[in-house]
Amino acid sequence: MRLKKTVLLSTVLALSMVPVLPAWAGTAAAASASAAATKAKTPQATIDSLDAALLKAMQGGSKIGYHGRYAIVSPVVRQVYDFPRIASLTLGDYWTKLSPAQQKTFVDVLAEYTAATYAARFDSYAGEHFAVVSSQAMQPGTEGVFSTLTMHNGKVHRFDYLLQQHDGQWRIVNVVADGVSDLSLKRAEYMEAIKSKGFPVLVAHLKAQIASYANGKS
Amino acid sequence: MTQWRFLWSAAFAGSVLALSGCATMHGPGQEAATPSRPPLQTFNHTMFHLNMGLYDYVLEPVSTGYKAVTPGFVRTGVSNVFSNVGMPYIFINDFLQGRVQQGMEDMSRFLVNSVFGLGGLFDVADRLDLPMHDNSLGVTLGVWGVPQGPYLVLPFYGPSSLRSLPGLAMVMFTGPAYYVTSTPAQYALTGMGIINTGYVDGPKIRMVQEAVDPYQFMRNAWEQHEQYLISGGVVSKSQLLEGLSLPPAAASAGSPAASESSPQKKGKH
Repeated sequence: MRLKKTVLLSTVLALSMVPVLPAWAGTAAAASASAAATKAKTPQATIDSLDAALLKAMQGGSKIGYHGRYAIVSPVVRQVYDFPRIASLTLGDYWTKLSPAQQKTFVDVLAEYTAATYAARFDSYAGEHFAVVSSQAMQPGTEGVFSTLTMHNGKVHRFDYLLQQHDGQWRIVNVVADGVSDLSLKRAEYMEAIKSKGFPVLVAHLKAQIASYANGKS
Repeated sequence: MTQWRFLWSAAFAGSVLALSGCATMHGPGQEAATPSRPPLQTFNHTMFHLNMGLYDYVLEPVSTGYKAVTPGFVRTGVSNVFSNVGMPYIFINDFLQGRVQQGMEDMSRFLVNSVFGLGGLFDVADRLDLPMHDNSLGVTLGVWGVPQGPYLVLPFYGPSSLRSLPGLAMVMFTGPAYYVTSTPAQYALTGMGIINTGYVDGPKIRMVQEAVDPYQFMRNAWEQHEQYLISGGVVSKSQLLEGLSLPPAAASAGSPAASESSPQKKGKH
C-alpha cells in the first residue's frame, strides 16, 4: 500500500533514480527471465517462466521499484501471453469492426496494461511461492495448466491457465484466479465501456491506469 | 492479485470490500446514462457509490493514519486476532457443507492459534501447514442447492445476494462482539475491526477502483468466486474452455449488470 504523501516522492524517484539503479538491476534479470520465456516449448514451461519472472520482481520489491519490476516482467509477459488472441476474444464481434491500426493499438495497450498491473501488484516478497500442480490437454492445441500461489500465511490461491499453441509456441489466452476468469471480467467491462463511451475512451482509461501505476498513484 | 471472499476472505473482509465498492471515477456517469433502470439496480448502484465514498473519505484516511502510528508487528497482530475470531464462522460452514477435512483444518487452526498463539495474536498454525479457507453461510446454502437470488450491494458490507443475507446474522452470532456485555468494549471492538478491515482489504478495494467499470468488475468477480467456493474450489474443463467461445455482441455487452436477478446462478453444480 502506498501513502498518498509519498506519491510526489515516488514520482520524483521514478523520473530520476529509477532509470539508473533499478533499470540496471532489472535489465540483467529481465534478460535471463526473457530467455527462459523464449525457450518455453511446453505449456508448463510457459507458466514456469512467468512464475519465475513474477518471483524475481517480487523479490526485487521496493528496492528496484516499479520500473525495475516492470523491466523484469514486461518482456516475459509479452512473450507468454497471446495478446492478439486475447484482444479478439475480449471484444468479440466488435474486434472485426476495428481498423487494423485500432486493433494494433488495442493489442499494444493491453500488453502494456497487463505488464504494468503485474509490476504494480507483485511488489513485495514474504516467502510466497508458485507451483505448477498439473496440466491437461483440453482440445487439440489447447491445454490447461493448474498452478498455485502459496502466501506467507499458508493461504493457497489457485491460478488456472488456458494456453493455445501458435507458431510452435504455447501462449496464455486466459487466467482463472480462484475461480474468477480474467477474460470474462475484461469482456464484461470492456464491452460495456465501448457500448456506453466508445473505443477511444476505453483505450484512454487503460493508458491512464498504466501511467497511474508508473507514477505510484495506485 | 483479488480478495477475496474473492478478494474477500473473512467476514469483515467481505464487508469492507463492500465498503470498497466506491470507485466513482467511471461508474456514476455511465450509470446515469442508462435509461429506466430497475429499482433494485438503482439501489445497488447507489449503495456501491456510497460504499466507495466511505472508503475514499473515511476508511482509507483512517487506514493511512493507522499505518503511520503503529509498527508493522502490531498491525499484523491485530489482523491475526480478527482473522482468528472469524474462524468459527468458517469452520461451522465447512462442516455444514460436509467438507470434514477442511472443517478439521480450520477448527485446528482456530484452536492452535487461540491457545498457542495467545488468542490469535500470533499465527502459529501457519507453521503447522494449516491453511486458511474462505467460507460463508451463503456458500453453504449454495451447496445445499438454494439459488443465489437477486444480486445485492449492501451498505457498509458490499457485494452480496438474497441467499447470503442470513449469513450476516450468523457472522454476528459467531463473533465475539455479540457476547461482550460492556458497551464501550463493543464500540472499541467494532471500531478496531473497521480500521483493521480498511488496512487488510485496502489493496483489494483499490483493485476494484482501478477497473474500467468498477461496479461490473466487483459484481462479476464476486459472483464467479462465490460459485467457485460452492463447487469446492474446482474449476471444470468446461469453465476453463468457456472463455474461448466468442460471445455475440449483444450478449457480451449485456453481461451481469444488465439485470440484478441471477436466475442462472444455482447452488451446487
